[in-house]
Amino acid sequence: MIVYVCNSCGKGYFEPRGICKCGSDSFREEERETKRLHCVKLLVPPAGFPEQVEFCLSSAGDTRVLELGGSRE
Amino acid sequence: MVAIVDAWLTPFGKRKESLFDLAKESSLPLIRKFRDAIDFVIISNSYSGEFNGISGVNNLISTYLSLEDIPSIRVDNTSGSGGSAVLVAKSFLDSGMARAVLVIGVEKMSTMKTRDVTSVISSLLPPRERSVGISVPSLASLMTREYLDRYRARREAIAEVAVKNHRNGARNPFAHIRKEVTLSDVLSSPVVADPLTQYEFCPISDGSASLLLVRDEEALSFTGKPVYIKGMAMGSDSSHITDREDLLEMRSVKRAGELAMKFSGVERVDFAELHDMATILEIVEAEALGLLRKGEGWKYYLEGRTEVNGDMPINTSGGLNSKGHPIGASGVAQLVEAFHQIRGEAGERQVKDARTGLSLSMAGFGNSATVTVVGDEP
Repeated sequence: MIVYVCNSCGKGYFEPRGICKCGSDSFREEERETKRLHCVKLLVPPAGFPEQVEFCLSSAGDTRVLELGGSRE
Repeated sequence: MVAIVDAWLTPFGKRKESLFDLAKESSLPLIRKFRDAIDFVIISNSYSGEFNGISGVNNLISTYLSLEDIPSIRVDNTSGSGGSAVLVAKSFLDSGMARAVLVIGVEKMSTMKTRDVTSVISSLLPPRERSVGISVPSLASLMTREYLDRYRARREAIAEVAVKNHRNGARNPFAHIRKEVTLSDVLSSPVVADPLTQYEFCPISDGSASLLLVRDEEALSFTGKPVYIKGMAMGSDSSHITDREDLLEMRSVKRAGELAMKFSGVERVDFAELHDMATILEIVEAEALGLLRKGEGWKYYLEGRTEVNGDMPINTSGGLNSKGHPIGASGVAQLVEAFHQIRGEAGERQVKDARTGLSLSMAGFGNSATVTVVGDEP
């Protein structure tokens, strides 16, 4: 899972930002392993997605991320 | 200080009338009485472009109501538009820019199918989070899982929010869903986002609500029973759900509530109208506002303490859950309910001796929140 990490303070973000909370606008991409916290099956997803979507809130180090659910195989 | 001197709303539901006629229906009683006094019009609306193909909606509605000589603006803050619109109206009155502001909240959503509506509303989510397929309702399910795990709460307690709100909605002639449901009905209704079911989410509704606000020193020349805005504040949080360190914290709600209560000088309100887009939100919001004890809010629902005759009545109108959630109208309609409660005009839903109340108008998934504390005295 790619996380955007501030080059100044090291804070990680799942969703890219233009400016970090520390004021820096310089980020790098970092590949991190994830650990699932909670998963949800959505049976009425927004138009344009499959009829059933499963997603998970996961942690990637100290950063929370969203990822598709189901088997990791 | 500012007072609400008149209020009205349309029945919510799937309505055949246009956006313009819904706005007319809620505002006509106010315009008939106070046309000459109104000097600013604020339209609370979020999705007229997406749902109705209309831009410049404030000027179009004002002209349709023959108020085109009165300045107007549109306030859009997604689901929190209504609270934001009233905050702007209050600011205009406090600053002296206006003397009588007509706020009209309106939305016509039934023009689209459910998944298309979900797609439009989910556009408030940031691109990467949205790409996973999440929707605002599914975030409520994520919150439910965290709440059940952390507090060892009972699943049926969450569903009891829907039972209570449908009971209240059945007694509200303006509610979208006017039927009572049992706990079994709620738990066995189709799952929308596991574990939450259909009855635990608000329906897609059309509707409109209107308020007339004036400065408090002029209020008694409009009505013998003004309802005063004693405190009002807005809070904000990240619109990126992955940036929230604690999903159950609802920082925007907590901050807005703390400030609004401080400004009001009120220690405890007699009732509250909260943003129950999903059942779990009512509980977590009530905890963030200090209305229910943190981590124990679910127990109040098992004990009936949030019912109309309980010690902390919540969503006597039926809430978004039963009354409906026409986005731009919702926050305005919450204050219509508060107006009637404080004046003792809420009929079968009347809270005994209601003198102060609170409404929470919330945007997105707590991206921002406006809390208004009202009462029968300045």
